[in-house]
Amino acid sequence: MTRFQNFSLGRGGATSLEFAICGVAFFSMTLGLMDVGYDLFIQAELDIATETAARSVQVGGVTGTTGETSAQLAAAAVCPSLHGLLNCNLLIVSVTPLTTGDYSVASNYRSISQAAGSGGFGATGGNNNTGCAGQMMLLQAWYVGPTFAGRLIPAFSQTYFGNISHITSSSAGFVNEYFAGGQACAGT
Amino acid sequence: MLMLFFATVDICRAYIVWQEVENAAEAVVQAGEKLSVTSGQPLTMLNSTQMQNAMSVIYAQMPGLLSGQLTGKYGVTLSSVVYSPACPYTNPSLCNANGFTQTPYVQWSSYLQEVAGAPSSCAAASQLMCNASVAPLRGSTAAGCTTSGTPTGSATLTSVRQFTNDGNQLKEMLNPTLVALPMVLVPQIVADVQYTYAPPLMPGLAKWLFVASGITFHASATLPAPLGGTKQAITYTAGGNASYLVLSCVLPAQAS
Repeated sequence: MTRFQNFSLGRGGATSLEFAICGVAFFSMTLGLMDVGYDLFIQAELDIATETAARSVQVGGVTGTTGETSAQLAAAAVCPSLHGLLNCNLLIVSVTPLTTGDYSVASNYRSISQAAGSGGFGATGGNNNTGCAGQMMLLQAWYVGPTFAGRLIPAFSQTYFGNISHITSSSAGFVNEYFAGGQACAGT
Repeated sequence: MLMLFFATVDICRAYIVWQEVENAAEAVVQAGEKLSVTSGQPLTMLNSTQMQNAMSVIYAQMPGLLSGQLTGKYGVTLSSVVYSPACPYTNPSLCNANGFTQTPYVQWSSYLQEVAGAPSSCAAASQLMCNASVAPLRGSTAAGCTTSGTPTGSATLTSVRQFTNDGNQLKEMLNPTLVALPMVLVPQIVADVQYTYAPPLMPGLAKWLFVASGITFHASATLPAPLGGTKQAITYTAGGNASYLVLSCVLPAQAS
């Protein structure tokens, strides 16, 4: 019997070989599920925080003059509603009144770079405005955090200031209440 | 294993979309209520443009509709529903612990037109609701979208919330101290949001591959009018620039 015949008929190490083949797929699947679960958790958490922040602005809990930065808004309105694994420092927040049309008008929405400003993460992201009473408002929030799959598959991720990041976004539309101290917009 | 992976993503994503639909219903009805307030006047009125603005909140609550990530059909309806108790305070003998109901009547109703400007595939939906005001709406379903024609991807609706067999309200109604109040009709503004889930991955194969595809999420939210007495409904007044269909319905005679 030749050496090749011995090799082809041998069964030693078959289990290890099968594990090597299946293990890659199995662990990829497991890690993938964890990654997807984490991603969806971030989305759900950001949605809830955005809703809560919108309500806070709506009733006058967060008020300010024009020019609040993204970081200030994040700290005042969104971060208190974030729990667990999310890092408040990775948040970008924008609050703006609608000046034209309604929420179906795409130009009413700000991009993440517009909201963050040139410094990134709200360093100079100004022109935020919590609006006046009775005004239609738009609150947008982005969470810029890395994910495992995003690092492995760059096509699924975006870059933010040179770093591969997964950007999760959420937004909420609302109309400001006529809260005490809130000034109604001109003409209403 | 891949099937399991896709199914997991599909179901998790569906849950989040469901949550967004419920948030959208709450946000739409809140916006409608707030926009109806005219500063300095004890009036709560909505015109066509304000209705359009209120219903468009769905795009902020579900940004995937604008970005194209959410490809399913959706619809929004904003209505004013007046609940009339079956046992008016002047005739409490009609009330009993097991039979107290409030019957909803649709005062007016408006539906969202798609961004592209195409008319809703359920153009008759509002009409159905209005017609239904003649025959009181009962149960959880007010009117189905049974309009004929080819759906073009827009609104379907709808249901209105109904309060039934509420023992606490029955006690209040029977309270002699309330006899002097003219409270018979209880106005509510109601938002219905509907979205038919379409999976984000391989939508072309959705019918065969995905667990949650084709499930329609429906959420209904309601708020009372913010100002005025118990008879102050949010009324519709013609005006604005919106091209939305608004039908005003004849209310039933006030119970006495």
